[in-house]
Parts: sequence; C-alpha cells; structure tokens
Amino acid sequence: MTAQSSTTKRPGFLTYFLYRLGKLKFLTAILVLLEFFTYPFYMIMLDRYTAMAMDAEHADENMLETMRVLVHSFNWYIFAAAVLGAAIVSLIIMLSAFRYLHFKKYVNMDLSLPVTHRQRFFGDMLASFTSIFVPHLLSALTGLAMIAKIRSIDGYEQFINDSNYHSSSSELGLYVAEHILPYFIIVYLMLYFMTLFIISTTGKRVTAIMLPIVMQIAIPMAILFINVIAQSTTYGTESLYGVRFGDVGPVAILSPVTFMLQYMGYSGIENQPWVLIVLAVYLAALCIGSYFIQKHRRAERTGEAFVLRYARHTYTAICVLAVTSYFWWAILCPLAAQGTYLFMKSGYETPVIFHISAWLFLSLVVFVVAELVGGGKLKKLPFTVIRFVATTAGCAALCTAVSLTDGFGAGSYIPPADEVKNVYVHFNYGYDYFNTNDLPYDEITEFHKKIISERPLKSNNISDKYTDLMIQYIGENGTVCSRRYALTGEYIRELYELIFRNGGLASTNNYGTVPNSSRSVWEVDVKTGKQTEIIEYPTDTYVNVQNDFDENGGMIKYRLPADDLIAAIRADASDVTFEQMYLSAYAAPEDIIINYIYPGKNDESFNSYKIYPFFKRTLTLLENYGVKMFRTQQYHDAFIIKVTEPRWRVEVGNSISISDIAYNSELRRIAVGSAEYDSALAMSAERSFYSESGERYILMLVSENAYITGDTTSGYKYLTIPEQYTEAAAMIYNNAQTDETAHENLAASGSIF
Amino acid sequence: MIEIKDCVMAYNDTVALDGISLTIPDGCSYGLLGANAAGKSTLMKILCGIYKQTSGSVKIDGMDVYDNAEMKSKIFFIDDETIQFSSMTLKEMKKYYSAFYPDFSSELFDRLVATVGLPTDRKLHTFSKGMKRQAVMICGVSCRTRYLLIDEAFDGLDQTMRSIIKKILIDAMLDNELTVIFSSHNLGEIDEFCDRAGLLYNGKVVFDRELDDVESDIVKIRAAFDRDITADDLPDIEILHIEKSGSLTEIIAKGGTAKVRTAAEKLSPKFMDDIRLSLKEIFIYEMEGVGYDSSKLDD
Repeated sequence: MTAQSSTTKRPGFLTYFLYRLGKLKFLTAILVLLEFFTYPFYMIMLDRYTAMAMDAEHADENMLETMRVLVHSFNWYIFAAAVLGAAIVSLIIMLSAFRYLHFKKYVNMDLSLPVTHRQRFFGDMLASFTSIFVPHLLSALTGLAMIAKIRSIDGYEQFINDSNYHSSSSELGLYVAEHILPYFIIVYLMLYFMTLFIISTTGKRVTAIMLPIVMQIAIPMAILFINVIAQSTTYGTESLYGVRFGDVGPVAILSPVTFMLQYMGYSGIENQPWVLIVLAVYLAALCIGSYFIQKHRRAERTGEAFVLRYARHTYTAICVLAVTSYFWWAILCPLAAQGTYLFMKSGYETPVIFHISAWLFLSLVVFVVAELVGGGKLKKLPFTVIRFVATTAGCAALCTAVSLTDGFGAGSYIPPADEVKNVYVHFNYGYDYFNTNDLPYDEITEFHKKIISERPLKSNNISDKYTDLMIQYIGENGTVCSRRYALTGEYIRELYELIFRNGGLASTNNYGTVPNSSRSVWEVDVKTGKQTEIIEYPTDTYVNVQNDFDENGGMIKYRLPADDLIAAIRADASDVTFEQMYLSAYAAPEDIIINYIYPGKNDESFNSYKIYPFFKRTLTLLENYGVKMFRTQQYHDAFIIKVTEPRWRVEVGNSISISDIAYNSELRRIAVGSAEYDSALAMSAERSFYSESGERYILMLVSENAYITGDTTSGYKYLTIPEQYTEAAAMIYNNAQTDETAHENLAASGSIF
Repeated sequence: MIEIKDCVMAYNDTVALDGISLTIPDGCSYGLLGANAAGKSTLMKILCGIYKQTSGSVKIDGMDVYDNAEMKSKIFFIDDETIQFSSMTLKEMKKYYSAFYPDFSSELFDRLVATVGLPTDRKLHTFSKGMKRQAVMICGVSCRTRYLLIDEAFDGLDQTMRSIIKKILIDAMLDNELTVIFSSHNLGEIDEFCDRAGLLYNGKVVFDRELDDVESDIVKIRAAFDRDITADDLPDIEILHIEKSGSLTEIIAKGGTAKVRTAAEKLSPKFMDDIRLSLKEIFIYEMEGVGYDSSKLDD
C-alpha cells in the first residue's frame, strides 16, 4: 500500500470551529428551548392579552384579569427562571468547549490535535459564543419583532390613549420589555467574557463551576459596599435621605449586577452611550487576557485548582473584601462626613465590637473555604495565618482608606470647566424650594470651594434650620457629578444671594421653563420617518387651588385665561427680591395648579406653581375670578404649646399637646373617647419645632373654621386637625390659655419667625 | 529526525526531565524504557506538542513542535488512556481524525476495522480494554503520520490482543517510512519491536543505543578453570560480573565475543562456552554501575 500524498489541505480554524460547534449542538438545543421562555413566551402572552383587552367588550373579564396577572407576575417568574436556566446551560457550554482546561482526560486528545493555540482558542470561543448567543439573540429579536407588531396593531394607539386599567397594563408590559432588552444582551456579554477569563485561570471542574458564580456575588458586593462607605463618609457625597445604593458610577461595568443597578436604576445607558465603548474595551481586555492566560498556562497543571501563581490569593482576597466592605460600612459610618447617619441608623446602635467580631469570623470562614477549594495547604499553618491576617488587614485598610482619603479625593473634586456643560443647584429652605436653571460655573464653583474648604457639618442641634443643597455638574459626555451638603446659617444666605444675582426666582425651574400654555407635539411620518414639531394650544383650562374643596370634597375648578395667569406669575416672580424670599422662607406659599385640555386627543396635562403672599399681580388676577388664596392664614388666634417629655408620661392639666394625646392611650381615652391609635391624629401631632435648648413646641392656630397645627421645621404645610378631634383641640387650647405656657398672638403677622 | 537537546521539564517541585538529549533517526523503531514516573509519558507529550518543555530544544525535522500545527499533523500520539473516547463510536472517531489529519486513509481504516472485527456503531465504553486499544491503534495507523508515539502500547493486554496490535503496527511500519516511539516498562516488548532503546532514570537518559550493538558488545561465558579467577586475571577486557558456581565460573564482560574468549583462553580453561544474554540481563549488569535497579523493568 502506498502512502497517500500529503498535498491534502491541512485543517485550520474553520475545521476546528465546526467540529467544536457540532459537539455543542445538544446543549445549544436545550438553550434554544430555555430562551423560548424568555422574550418569545412573554411577548406571545402579552400579545394575546393585548388582543383580548382591545376587544374588551367581547372578552370575559375573569379571563382578561387572569391574563393580566399572568403577564405581569407569573410570566416574569418564568422569564427569570428561564434566564437562570439559560445562564447555567451557558456555563456548561463554555466548560464543554474549553474542556481541556479542566478535564484531564481530554488534555492529550485535544492538545495533540494539529491546530495552533490561536486556532483552538478562537475556535472554541467562537463555537461557544455562537451556541450561547444565537439562541439569545433570536429570543431578543423575536421580542423586538413582537413589540413592533403589537405597537402596529390597528387601533393600538387609541387603545393606549383610553388610559384604562388594561390598556395601562398592556403598555406597561411593552415598556418593560423594551426597556430591559438592551440589558438582556449586554449582561449576557459581560457574563460570557468574565466567565471565560475566570475559567482560563482554573484547572479543576469544581473551581471552574463555583468561581464564576462566587465572583458574580463577591465582586458586586465589594463594589456596592465600598461605594456605600464612600457615599457615607465622603464629604459631599452622602445623601441626607439615605445612600443611593447601586449608584456606583462607571465602575459598574466591572459586574453585570452593578451594571444593571447603575444603568437601569439611575443613569440609563441611553444617557451615557460612551459607557458602551468603555464596556467594549473592558470585555475585549478580558478576551485578550483569556487568550494569553490559556496560551501560557501549562497543560500539566490541568487538574489543579488554579493554574496561575497568585490566582487563588486574588480570588480569596476578593471574597474577603466583599465580607469586609459589608461590615466596615457599619464600623466606619460613625465617622460619617456630615455627622448624619444613614437610613439604617438602627444598625449603628450595635456596638462596633460586634461588627468587628462578625467581620473576623465570616472572613475566616470565607478564607478557609476559599483555601480548601482552591487547593491551599492548610498544613502550613503559620503561613496560612499570616496570609489571613494580611488579607483581612489589607481589605480593612482599603475600606478605611476610602473613608480617610475622603473617597480618594472625591470630597474635594470639582469637575474642570472645560468638561462641564451645565451646572444646576437644588435646595430647599423652609417652604422655599429652588431648582435652578443653568448657573454660571465660576460663581457656583467659588461657593462650592468655600464649602469644601470650611466643611460645615450638619448640626446635631435639631432646632437649627438647615438646607439640603445639591450641586449638579452635567458633563459634556452626559456624566453627572452631584454633591450634597447640609448647610445652616450664613451659607443659606449666600445661596439666596447667588440665586438672586443670577436671575432670581424667575430664573428657576419653578417658574422659568413654561412661557405659556402651549405645548410641542412631535408628529412622525411613518413612511419617511420625518418628525415635525406642532405647537398646540389648549382648548380649555381651569385652575385648582390648594385646600379649596367643594362640598363633595372635590377640588374646585376655576376657569380663567391661563396665559394671563402665567404671565402674572412670571412677572411677580421676577419682582421678588432677595429679602422677600430669604426672610419669608418659613412663610408658606400655596400651590396653584393650572390644568390644560388639548385638542383632539382628550389629553389633559398640568403645571403647578408656588404662589407667595407677595405675588400681588397674581393674587389680584385670581381674586377677579373669585379665587381666594391664603385663606387659612386669616387666623384670629394662635398659641404655642410646649410638649413635655417624655411624651408618654404627661401630667393632665398642665400643658398637653396633640402628640401627648396621640401617644398616651389614657389621655386619648379622655380627650378623644378612644384608646385606639389614630394615624391621622398622630400625623397632625408630629409637626413640631424646637427651641435652642431643645424643648419642643407645637404651634396651634385657631381660624374661622378649624383648629390647625403646624410644623415650621420641615417645610410641611399647616395641617387642619380632623373634625372629630375638635373637642380635644379645644381642650388643649383652653388649657393653654389658662396656664403659663407661651402664648403669642400671631394673627396679624405674615410670618412666624 | 527527532532531536532533543538539554531538555528540562519541571513543574511544581518536580523535575521530570533533567536536561536530556536524544537523537532518534527517521524510520527508527525506538523503545523508551523506564520505571513508572520515570518521565517517559512526559517526554512523549513534549514530542507531540501537548507539553512545552521548561528549557532546552525539542525539534522534529528541524522545527519546533509546540504550537506548530504543520508539525503536529505529522505526529500521532496514542495515549495509554482511552477514556476520552468513551462516548464516541468508531465511525465518529474516523470522522474526527479524518477532519484533522490530512493523510488519513479511510480505506486503511475500514480494512483494519474489518480485519479485527470491531463494531463501528457502538460507543467505545462498551468495548473491552483490548478492543479499545485496537480501536485507538487503528485510528493512529490510519492517520498515516510520519511519527507514531505510543504510550504503554500493550499494557494490560492478553497475548492474543498483543499479537493483533503488533501485527497492525508491523504492517504499518513496513508499509510507510514510519518512525515509532514506544514507551514501556517491559523489556521484552522493546526487545521484540525496537531496534534502538533508551532508558530514562531520575530524569536523565542513562542508556541510548542500538540494541544490536548492545547485544553484540556484552558477552557471557561460562568456563571451568583450575583455580579461582578474579577480574585482575583478565586485564584486557572490562569485566561486568564474575561469579563462581561449583566448578564453573561465569564471566560477563564487554568487548565482544572474540575478545572476551581470547582473554579467557589465556587462562587455559578446561571448558568454555559463550551464552547469549537477554536484554534484561544486559540491563541488570550494565545499569548496576549507575545505580539503577533493573528489577523495576518487567520481562
């Protein structure tokens, strides 16, 4: 027998890729089946539901409601389960494609084949990528096609405009499906390349399966909680209303979990498209890193937990960092930058030693498990102990460094002028709320630098009035840099002066954005795609005023020319002076709502404005049309009730307050006739203010129609005490009239302080 | 030609190959001997490009093997394990190898399968150990590569299976210009198949010679002398071993039959006869000097 000629073409990348793809066909078929239960199944159900809802008069209401529940809850469980199943099968596909990395029996068979490393790596990568993403993309494209199909149903737009229960449900389902579609693809890409990188560093099946899952928990956990530490302890990033959990900035691209939290919960990927470029670079780096790790790893190390020298230590450190960042959030937060605590204040009442003990214990457990799974030799105990101490200390040092360096300099960072497109300021003080239009960069940054250098802290004296200031720098690339500060005293005055040097009240978003009652509507030509702006004017307008109800409890509608009213409001706002606003911050404005009905589509919208007692033109115009505002300010008597502490032990006969009644069941029984807790009464009684020495007072007013209690610290309105408690209010009033409690007649005053 | 120069293979705390140098000419049937964990499989995996040596050079026809697809297409490695093929049928193995080895002969494959009577549609995990070995051997031979590396070719097989596999290999060696490297700890198999052998010990090559030269060089004679003889009485030849048993003295020496006989005749033996040594005996006496325990090698 003669030897065959060796001029036959040698196999290359394509041969290898097709071979590997063929080996994955069974798993791919399973994936196709699972992916059907993501978008395709959901959209089929939504399509069916929409069709039924659009034909509601012929539909069975029970069936319709069943379909609605299926679409909005049950289907999402199926979707989530299918996504989870698909993720598991995808991991199996990757382990099958790169089987020689973790299965010793395939090392000789696969690595002796006449293909280069490059052909093998990219052949396996492309085969696994194809097996995973073709079903995934088919699912997404099916979803996209069905979204378009539903939207193009004849009469669908009218159906949505009807704004009924089922049309809203249908539109909600479509909105959610549209909104998550990009993330459905992006998150999978992230999971793929992160998993590829991780399995390239491992040599054992156990680590190859566990590590991608563990890292998808540990990495986001570390990012999220270090960010929380930064937010809580960096001057200017702490929110007075709690941390923005998940708002981690561009570092979100390091994990699919943080990516979803950041860009689905906060920024929106459509607002920062440059993030996709950075993400693409990151994923490409993971791919290239995987290539070189596989190229240089030693085949004889297959069967060992890790094939890179320090991989085990790195992964262990990440797991320990996740645990550390969680506990060090609680340990470090007493050092909070502005002296405030987070919304989970109760967590900080636990002694720090408990947090430290829990941290050390859990870190030890995580460390030992990671060492054992990773093939570490605990026999060398002294070295293991040293590594544990070094790992935990290093993680703690990192968390502490975030705090001590003021978020690695974030506390004193101000974006440079050439990177900033707009600067906005938002703050409230008393009843005033400012949401400014674009302010001059230089003026704001001068004020901002002053705050950074002087670092005023929120006063622990609860009687001090403060404002929650937010400064936002909007970058040219769509990024947003926000800082928040609690300011008191002269800083607030400076803020008012700054606003009034740059357009005053009329320049703020409260008054500056709506010139008249018209609105822009964009019409799209479905054939050409051309968009045309159409200006619409309302066919009807009416005005509602705060606390102005008819005998049936509905808000009274006043008809008057909206454009004249808007012009009067803007003119009054333009005339407001710094002194008027600053000195009357605690004089409550009242809201006026202008409602517009636009032609053709039975479409209503509204704008609301705060009207101050010194808006003379506006009040005069309103009076001409029979609209009275600030009626509740016509008090004929007023007094201040001192609240004794503790609230639940009060002496009947001395000064007693609504809050006393609310929290003391015996008093409640006497005053109200019921020992039951009443939330309306309790809410009324919560509004209070404090003297400099910390004593608590409630302002009670007597007007023509009712007793009114109010709070002058948090900007809430005066609250009318419910009618059923009039007797109790009268009792308090009468008691207060006769004893030594401070009593001030404020009826003639236009302000409280 | 296979050229290995100063090849070192070390990982973790183990030095598997400690600077070995070997040259294996084309067309040679080379036996790689050594006890378990001597480094035979490691060397074979370096030769077929699975492992990369830590240092030194390993070239085939002047080219590096590692990550060289062209060179790897000329080499077929038959592992001592067959578990990786458990889920495959012979038909699938044929398709697999024919895709990657350009000179694969379907006709040869079919003929060999028919000759040994293996089923083509059953998965390999249903085969006996011998049948699996046959299957893999047939695939290897059918790829018609220039170099065939076989790790523990006959380990665990009965005599019948060994005969069948030997015939397949001999036919292939006769038919093509095939260089075969066997690794084994069985001296008898190496003696039967190979014309050259090397012995690995402590990561080094302690023996690398044509077997014919080995056998012709070391001689055993049995003679009767009228006195006790020692090595000092035979200064002209290199004595490996002298032992007296009753009236007979056994002398094992290097130098070839004629030379040793001439030296012994000077002592006027009453009787003298030369005896052919087995390869194992040669190894025992040859390797004693370097401290190698030849009992680790099987007959």
